[in-house]
Amino acid sequence: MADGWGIVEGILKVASVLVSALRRGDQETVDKVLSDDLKITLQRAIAEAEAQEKFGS
Amino acid sequence: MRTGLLLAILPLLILGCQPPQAAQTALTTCAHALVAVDDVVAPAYASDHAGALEDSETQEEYDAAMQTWNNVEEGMRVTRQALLSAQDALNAWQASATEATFRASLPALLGALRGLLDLLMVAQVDVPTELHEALGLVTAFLEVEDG
Repeated sequence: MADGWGIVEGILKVASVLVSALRRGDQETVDKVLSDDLKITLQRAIAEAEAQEKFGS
Repeated sequence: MRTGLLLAILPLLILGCQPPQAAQTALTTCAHALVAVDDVVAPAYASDHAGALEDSETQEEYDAAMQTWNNVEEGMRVTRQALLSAQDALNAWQASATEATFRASLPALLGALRGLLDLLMVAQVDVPTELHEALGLVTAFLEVEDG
């Protein structure tokens, strides 16, 4: 019985996510949502440049 | 197996839309999840970098201090690429009505999302709920295939 409730819970969770996505109008293609570069990738580039400046490698 | 089928079919019924539309919703949700994670990890990366740079005497010491965050950054890039590939496959599905290429792209995307989740946990990042939602949706699509 516990498994049964787990299944129902899982179904409702996925359904809820999809309904929320639909309400937000999530039909944009991935390339339109993502920017050209990730912010963390830009941060890493800046960080490595600063590290190179300090350690001279 | 039946659970997976139910998990995948019910959302499609709720949405009342064609599989490619539901697939686009799943991919778009994944993309929003990646943006949400990026918003969390980018400032954290910058903050830990500042501390590591100040505390380190050598490049090796600095690299070691930043290893966890560099792994997260690489995981983010892998996930981004997997998402873009899945979008290309979905575009092909919409253009030619063949679903196989899209389905073939899902394991790589799921693997990237799971890998990213693991890396975020190692980095002790508060994982945005969007990432868990994205994982649930991609898993649901794969369960349809397996079912």
